[in-house]
Amino acid sequence: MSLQRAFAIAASGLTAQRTRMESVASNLANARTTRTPEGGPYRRQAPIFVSQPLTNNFDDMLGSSLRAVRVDSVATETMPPILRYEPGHPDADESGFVAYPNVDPVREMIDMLSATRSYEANVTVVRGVREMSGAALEILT
Amino acid sequence: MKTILPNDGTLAVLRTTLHQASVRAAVAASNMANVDTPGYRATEARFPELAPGALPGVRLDRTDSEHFGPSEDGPEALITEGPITRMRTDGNTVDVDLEMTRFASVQGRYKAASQMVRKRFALMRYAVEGMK
Repeated sequence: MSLQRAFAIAASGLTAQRTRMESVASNLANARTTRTPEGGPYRRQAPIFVSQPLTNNFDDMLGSSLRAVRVDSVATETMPPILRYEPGHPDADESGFVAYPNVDPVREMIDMLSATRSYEANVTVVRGVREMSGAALEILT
Repeated sequence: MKTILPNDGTLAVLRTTLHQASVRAAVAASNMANVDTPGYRATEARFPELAPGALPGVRLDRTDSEHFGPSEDGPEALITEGPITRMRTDGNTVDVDLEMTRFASVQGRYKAASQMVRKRFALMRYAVEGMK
């Protein structure tokens, strides 16, 4: 039934946007982190979204033409860190520069707003589909 | 004598309407879920028109379980790339406003059709039970 499919697709959208929100939270929380287990300053994380067929079943023509969304991976950005002259800092190099993460709070805020709106759009779809299935259930009442 | 059995024309048409609305809802969900996927092309569902006089849901007799014919839900949906109304630099063509209005209209159509199915059954019940 197609309504179940709509639910499944909207759910994939919710998961993807939630992952994006988690990346934003991680980036903002680590905006000034100079030490990481991998060494060096924290690097900005960005989820990569890919669309994929809802099913891979050839018999299910509709299911294989509908596209859900999936977080392929969370990429670590390779932007060079921002160097600030802080000679007293324990992580400063020989010339007194400290490498700070290349995280732009404005960019993160915009990403957060965009993720929120997209999440809401998917919630609207879930609500709408729920109302539709409710209407179908009322047929025999 | 006219039949008011559940497999009459009215219900067959309404069944097709419900099916098409639910496919369109799934397509809208698909586009909304991919609103931030780079390179994603927005899709839309098209339904071939039935031949005049052909009733959806009326199928040929099956003499063998391996036979297949038109679905009882009416014609199969063709999912194609929709018209490009906007394009972002990342190649994504989902138009949120268009999808939302389409979704709202599909929702309305689904509710209307299910109300009509309900009334159709109410009519049948009235014929069986009489006025109470």
